Amino acid sequence: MKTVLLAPLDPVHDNAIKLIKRKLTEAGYEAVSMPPGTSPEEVIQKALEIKPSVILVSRTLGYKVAEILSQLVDLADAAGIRDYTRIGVGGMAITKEAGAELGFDGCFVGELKMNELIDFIEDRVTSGEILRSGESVRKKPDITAPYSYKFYDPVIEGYLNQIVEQVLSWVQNKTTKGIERAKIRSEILECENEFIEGNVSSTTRDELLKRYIADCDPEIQAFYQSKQLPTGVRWLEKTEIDRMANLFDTPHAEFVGLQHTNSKPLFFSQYGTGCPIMDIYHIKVAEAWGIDGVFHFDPSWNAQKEGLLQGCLTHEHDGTIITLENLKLIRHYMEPYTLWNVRGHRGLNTPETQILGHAAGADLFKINIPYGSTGGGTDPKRLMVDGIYSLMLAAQFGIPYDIPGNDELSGVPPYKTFAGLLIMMALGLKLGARPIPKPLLCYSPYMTIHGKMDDNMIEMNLAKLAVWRDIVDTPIWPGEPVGFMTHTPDRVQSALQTSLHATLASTMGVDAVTIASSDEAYSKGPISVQARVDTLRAVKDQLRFQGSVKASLTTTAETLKEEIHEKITETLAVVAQRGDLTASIYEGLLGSQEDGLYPGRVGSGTVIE
Amino acid sequence: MTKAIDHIVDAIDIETFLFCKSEDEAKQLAESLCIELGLPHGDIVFLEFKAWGARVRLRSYIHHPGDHYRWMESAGEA
Amino acid sequence: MITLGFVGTAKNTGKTTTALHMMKLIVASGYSIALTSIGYDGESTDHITGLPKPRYFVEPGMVIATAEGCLNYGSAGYSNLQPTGIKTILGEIMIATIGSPGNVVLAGPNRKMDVSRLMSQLAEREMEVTFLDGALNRLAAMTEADGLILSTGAAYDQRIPVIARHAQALESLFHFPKHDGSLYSDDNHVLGCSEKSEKFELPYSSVFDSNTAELLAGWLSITGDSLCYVPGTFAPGLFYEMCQKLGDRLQGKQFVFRNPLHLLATGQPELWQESFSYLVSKSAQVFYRSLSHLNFMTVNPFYPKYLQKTANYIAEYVDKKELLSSVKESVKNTLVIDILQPPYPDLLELCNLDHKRKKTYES
Repeated sequence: MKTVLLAPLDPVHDNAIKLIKRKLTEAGYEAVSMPPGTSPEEVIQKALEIKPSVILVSRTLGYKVAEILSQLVDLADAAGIRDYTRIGVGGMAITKEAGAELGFDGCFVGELKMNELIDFIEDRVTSGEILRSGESVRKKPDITAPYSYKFYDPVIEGYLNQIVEQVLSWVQNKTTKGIERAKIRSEILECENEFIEGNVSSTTRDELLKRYIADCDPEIQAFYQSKQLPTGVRWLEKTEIDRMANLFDTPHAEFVGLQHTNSKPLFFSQYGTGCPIMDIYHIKVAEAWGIDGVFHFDPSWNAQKEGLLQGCLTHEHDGTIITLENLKLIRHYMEPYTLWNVRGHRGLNTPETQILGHAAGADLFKINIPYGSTGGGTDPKRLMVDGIYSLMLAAQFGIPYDIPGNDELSGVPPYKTFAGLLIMMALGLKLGARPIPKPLLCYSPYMTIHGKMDDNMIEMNLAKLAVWRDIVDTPIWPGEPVGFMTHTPDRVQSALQTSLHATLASTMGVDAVTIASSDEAYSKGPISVQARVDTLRAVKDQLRFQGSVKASLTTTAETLKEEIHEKITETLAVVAQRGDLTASIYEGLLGSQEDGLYPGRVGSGTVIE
Repeated sequence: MTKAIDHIVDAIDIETFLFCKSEDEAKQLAESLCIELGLPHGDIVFLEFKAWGARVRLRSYIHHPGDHYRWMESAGEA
Repeated sequence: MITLGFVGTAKNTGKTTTALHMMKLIVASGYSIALTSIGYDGESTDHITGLPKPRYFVEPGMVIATAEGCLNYGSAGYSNLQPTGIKTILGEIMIATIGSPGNVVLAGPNRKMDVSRLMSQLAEREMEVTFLDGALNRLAAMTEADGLILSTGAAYDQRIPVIARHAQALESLFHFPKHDGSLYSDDNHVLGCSEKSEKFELPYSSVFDSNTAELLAGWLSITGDSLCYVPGTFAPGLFYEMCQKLGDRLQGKQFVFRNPLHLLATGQPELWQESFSYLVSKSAQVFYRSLSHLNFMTVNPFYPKYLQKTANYIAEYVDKKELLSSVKESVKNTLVIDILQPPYPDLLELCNLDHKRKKTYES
């Protein structure tokens, strides 16, 4: 058992020492504390007697106090104690630099973190240790790893099997320009690797690019042929990109996540200011303040044209253009443990987006055919073909895919959205991919119109999460983001709603949560970086507030859950009966015009049979 | 004609995020920002620095308790 | 390799200013130089007072040893980074060759054993001179230095007579001889050995409590000529009391301390001086197992003054001429200068270095 000597050099205050003593004792250490106002000589004498592994000193730093602390270190060195004892310091105004100047072996800055203290006592790499960007002891988790995807509801499973069989049969012998471009893009990428190694000529690359361009819309062709950029888009200059290397070189302590007592949930936020450089800064700040993952938000026009641009491009509008170079640039600056999702759930470039995302290092794809072909604006037939191909890519690359349930925002009832999510899950599982459904915790039009949240916003949201546990063994990731349509431009209110929703989800043991910034309801400009920090801090504090407390369902919530479950089954029965998922989407079986949902039109008539 | 700043009841807060490489630099920048914006006796209400930037809230009191409140004078005129 | 240690009696006494001055002289003489610190040096402002601090500006070819976390705090460019395996709060200490000129921040090893390890590594690189910049009033880690340059001044105390008295007492402790006899190799216990080969051992390497001091005093009082070896250190107040109690029984006793810096780490050189004067007057002797050589001392009239009203510090000064002359008058056996008040003798010579070498750096 290791001995830790605790020495409050403050003349009066020893609360921190008392707290540390209790926690260390609980952790199995022999913690010996000295009274407040202990002198350096007394500390050294005690250390000579008990030979502790570690001495922890607390004192508020101020002028002339530094000399007292350094004298302690000096005496320890002179007495030979430092041959076997390490000395750490903590207290108000203590910084790493001050600790280094004073000669300590460890320095504890700010709020007490027991894991850092224990790492120090055990002399192992601590989360408080100074690191450079890119170095980390945090690991990148696999959200899907703990789950078997076993269905608990055989009836639902039966309907899903029928629907999956029908879809996979229907999609045979169909292709799209999006798929063909994705295949060519794969070849180009492979070719570029071989070109670098000198194994293939530039002619092959050029020929592949020619074929690619042939399948693009005129505006995209104009870009490749005459470097014509869309309005408002410009190239990032080399100097701008090079300058970034100096921005994130500051050595820093390991960034700590938002979680308090559990390792779950992981927290994600979206980025997409329009400029990769600004995005990178936003991502770095979010990482510093505790985010676990981010996802790329691209502009809608990017998805509505056949073909993607290339190069490092920036523009001033919402969403950052998807190019391989932009994605690689952004990924390059992320911490190694940050999970990254590149959004490709709608539009005409979904398969190619997955190819580029994978090439740039994405950890997750985003695929939802029902939502992408209604709220996302893409023609259902087109997206069905592209979406299935994307699922195959997810399986091939071994990358999980998340399924956003944002169709509720149009007014679709949750059971229809969930039916869509389950269909997407079943399709992916059949093809060998690993899905993550994303029920949206929101104050949707359905909730407003039907009074489902008139009394409170808790019970319905709990029901929406709980129903999944009854149906299938799956990860659950509410978003995106949680609290949608509860936010106002007031920063406090907005951050509060986000934190309440996020922590409500965490009480249900979800695996990840997407959170908004406090600018969520501000539509006249991009999200500001301070708005990101606001909600990260709010969520962190709310998690601290609630600790390990878990939610249990009220009677009302149980009833709501049962209703949702029943209606999911009914919806799936109707879709299975229809025998044609694409037609089901057109006909509104997963969200009708009455619900506020309309089939998309982008890419209509482009499926090649 | 009264200025808008005179209608501030007591304080104006600036919520922002500063690019900087140390807490010291953040404090210096925050203090300079108040001066650059022409805000009297700016104070840093909140500052949290992490790695490459600082979340900052600055405050400047336009009217202190006990002052003659210009916003009351304009109300009187109205 | 010659290691020069820059130590001070307090923060802001001018260690780094002195080191920068010596660095210019040594570089101009053509020596290869390595720089490190047992604290944290080179930042632009003091993190407690907020007042500006002197910065290390280095040239290509120089070598530094600093924590990895500090490599990018300055503007100098580096090459040939070599890890040392020595960990600190700010990361592993790296030895780096300066590639392009600029400022650096030095945060090196802070424990004696790590300083020793680093010095060996620098010696292997055939560095001719190494600077070991000090930190506040820390001294024990400086036993590795071949020569010390000690800075004192108004930052220690604003009263010139107090500064002078303190400096005098401090300096006096460096002038006791090295013990040549054989001693027990055990450095974990205070040891006693009488002429009649009676042995005595205390449980610890140092004496900080009165019970332990009494045990030692008891043994010393019943032995005639004897030797007491203190490998660690001794609370000066307890040592003084013990000597007073022993009185005439001190005759024939030899007290061997590890190093003068181990005594100075306790912070009361005046009391040590008084104790040693008493010992000598009672025909006892004082020795050190290893010596530290004090090359010269500097004085600095600056001190940071705290202003309550504005809650910040300003730079203030005592009379610089009076400070220099008072300390010079008090410290008889070591040169005392104010770096910013020339002229003064050849400082390189005092550090056993000469001007005659002309060697250019490879950049």
